[in-house]
Amino acid sequence: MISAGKDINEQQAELKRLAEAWSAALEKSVAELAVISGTTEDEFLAIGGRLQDFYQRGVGISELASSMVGEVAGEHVTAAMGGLDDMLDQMGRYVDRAQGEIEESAQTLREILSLLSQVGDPLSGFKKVNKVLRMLGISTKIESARLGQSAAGFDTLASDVGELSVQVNDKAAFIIKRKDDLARAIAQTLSGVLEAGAKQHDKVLEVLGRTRTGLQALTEINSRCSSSAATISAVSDEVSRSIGDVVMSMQAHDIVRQQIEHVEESLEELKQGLSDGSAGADAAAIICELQVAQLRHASEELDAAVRTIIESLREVARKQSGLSTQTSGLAGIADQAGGGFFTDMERDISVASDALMESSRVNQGLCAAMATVAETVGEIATFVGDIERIGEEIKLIALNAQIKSAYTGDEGAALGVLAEAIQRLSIDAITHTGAVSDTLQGIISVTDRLSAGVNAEASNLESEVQVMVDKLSALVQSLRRVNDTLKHSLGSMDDGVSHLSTEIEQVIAGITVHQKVARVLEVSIRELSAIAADARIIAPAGSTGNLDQLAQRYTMQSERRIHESMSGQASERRPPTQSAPAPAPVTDDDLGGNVELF
Amino acid sequence: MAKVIMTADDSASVRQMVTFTLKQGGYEVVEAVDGKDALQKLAGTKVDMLITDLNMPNLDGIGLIKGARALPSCKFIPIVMLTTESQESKKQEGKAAGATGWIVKPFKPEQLMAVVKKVLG
Repeated sequence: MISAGKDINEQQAELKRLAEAWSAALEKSVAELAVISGTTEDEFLAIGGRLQDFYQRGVGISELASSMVGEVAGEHVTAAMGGLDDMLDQMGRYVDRAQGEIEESAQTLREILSLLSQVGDPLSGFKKVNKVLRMLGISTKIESARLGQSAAGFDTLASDVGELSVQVNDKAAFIIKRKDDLARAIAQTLSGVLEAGAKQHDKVLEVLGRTRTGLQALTEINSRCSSSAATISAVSDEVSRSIGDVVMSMQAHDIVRQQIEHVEESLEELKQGLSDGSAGADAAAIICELQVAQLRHASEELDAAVRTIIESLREVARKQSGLSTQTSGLAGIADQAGGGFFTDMERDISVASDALMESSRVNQGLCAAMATVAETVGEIATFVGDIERIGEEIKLIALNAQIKSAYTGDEGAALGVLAEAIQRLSIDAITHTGAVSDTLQGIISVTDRLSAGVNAEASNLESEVQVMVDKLSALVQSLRRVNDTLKHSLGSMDDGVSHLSTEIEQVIAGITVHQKVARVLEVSIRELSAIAADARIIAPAGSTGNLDQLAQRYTMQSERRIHESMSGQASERRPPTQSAPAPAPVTDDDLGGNVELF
Repeated sequence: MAKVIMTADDSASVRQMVTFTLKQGGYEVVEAVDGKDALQKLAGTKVDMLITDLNMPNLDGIGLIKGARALPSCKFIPIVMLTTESQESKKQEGKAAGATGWIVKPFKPEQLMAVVKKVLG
C-alpha cells in the first residue's frame, strides 16, 4: 500500500516496487483469462450439438400433434359424425313408430278382450238350452212311456235330444274354457307388450339422449380441432422463438471471448508498459478500472446469455409438454385406460344396438301372440259351428216329433207341445251360436288386421334394425380405428415429450460454463480492482491517461460504450455494464437494426 | 437442389449456429475455420453465397472477400459479413472489398434467413 505524504523519489521507488507486484498479478490474470477464453467453447458446442436434435424432435412432436388433430377433424370422424347423425334420425323415427305400434296393438288387444267378454252371454245361454233340453228329453220319455205303442219312436227321439244336449253342453264348456284361456293370454300379452314397449322406449330415449350428447361433444371436438391448427402453429412458433433465443445467446460465447481477449491484450500491454516504464500509476489505474468494467460486462453478458439458453430450453420442453396435454384434450382422449370419449360412445352405440334388437324381438313376440289369438279363435269357431249344426239337428228332430205327434192324434198333443218346445230351444241354440259366431267373426277380423299389420311391421322393422345395427357396427369399427390411431400417436407423443424434457433437463444440469467463467473473471476483477485502488492513491481519480490505443482494438459497440463511459469521452454516458440492445424484430421490409445491405 | 452457403468463422460455436439456422432453412452449408480455409474451399467448391466473419486468423474477412471476388465462380455471389464489428469505417471497407451486406452479431435465426432469402432471391 502506498502511503500518503511521501516525496516524489519515495513515490517512484514505491511505484517501481508496486509495478513489479502489479505485473505479477497482471501476468496471472492474463494467463487465467487466456485459459477461460480458450477452453469454454466445448460446452457451448455440446449444447449446440443437442439443439439440432431438440429442434428436430420438437418439429416431430408438433407434426404428430397436427396429425392427431387432423385425424379427429378428418375423414374418419367426419364420416362417423354423419353416420351418427343419420342414426339418430333413424332411431327417432323408429321410436315414434314403435310407440305408435305399441299403442295400436294395445288398443286392438283391449278390443279383442271386450269382444271376448261379449261372447260370455250367448255362451251362458247354451247352459239354459242344455238344461231345458234335458228336462224336455225326460218329459218326452215319460209321455212316451204313458202312451205306450202309439208313441213309439218318441223314446228314441228323447234319447237323441238328450245326447245332443250333452254335446251342446260339452262344446259350450270347451268354448268357455278356451275363451277364458284366451282372455288371460291376451291380458298377459297386453301387459307384456306395454311393459316391454315402455322399457324399450325408455332405453332408446336414454340412448338417444346420450348419443346426442356424444355427437354434440364430437361436434365441439371437431370444431375445436378445426381451429386448433392455428394453436399448434402458434406453439410451434413459440418453440421456434425459444430456439431462436438459444441460437442468439449461443453467440455470446464468441462475443464474450473477444471481449476477454481484448482485456488480455490490454493487460499484457499494461504489464509491458509498467515493465519498460512507459506506463505509470495513472495508466495502471484507468486501464485496470476499464478492464474491470469490461470483465464485469463480459461476465454479466455471458451469465445472461447462458440463463437465456437454460430458460429457453426449458420453455421448449414446457411448450412441447403443453402441446401434448392440449392435443390429448383436443383429441378427446382422457387416458390410456380406455375411459375416454370414444370408449363411452362405443358403449352407448352397443346399448343402442341391444335396444333396437330387443325392439325387434318384442315385435316378433307380438306377432306370435296374434297368431295364438287367431288359432284359438279359429278353434272356438269350429266348436261354435258344431253347436250350430247340433241346433239344426235338434230343430229337425223337433220337426219330426211335431209331425209324429200330429199322427198320434189327441193322445199325442202333449208330445206335440214338447216337440214345439224342443224346436224353440233349437232356434234359441241357433240364435246363441249366431251371436257367438258374429262376435268371433269380429275377433277374427280384428286379429287378422292386427296380425297382418304386426307381421308386416315386424318384417320391416327387423330389416330396418339390421341395417341400423350394421351401420352402427361399421361406425364403431371406424371410431375404434380412430381411437387406436390416436392412442398410439398420443403414446408416441407422450414418450417423445417425456424423453425430450428429460434430456433437456440433463443438458441444462450440465451447463456450468457461466459459473466457471464468472469465478475466474471475479478473481481477475478483484486483482485488477486492487491494482487500480493502489494506483489511484498515486494517481487520483480524474486522470484518464491516453486510452486511444486501447480503443483501437475494440470490435464491439458495447466495448466502445464502456470505454467511452470510463474515459469520459462519451457525450451521453450509459451504465458500463448494460448489455448491447438485442436486434430489432424482423419484418418484411426491415431486416433489423443490426443488418445493412449495400 | 438445395443452394450451398459457406460460413467462414474462427468461432466453432458461431459456425455451428449459422449452420443450424441455414440447414433448417433447407440450405447446404460448407464450413471454413478462417479466411484462408474458406478461400481454399471456394476454389474447389461452388457456393451460392458466402457468410464471413471479419476478424479471423490467417486471413480476415476483408481479405477473404477480396480473394473470393477474384475467383470467377464467386464474382457475383452474395457475400455477407457476420461480425461483432459495427464501426461504419469497417463497413465501408467491407463494402469496398465487395461485401453485399453486413450483419452485426448476435443474429436471430429469422433475421439471418431473411437476409439470405433476400440476397439469394
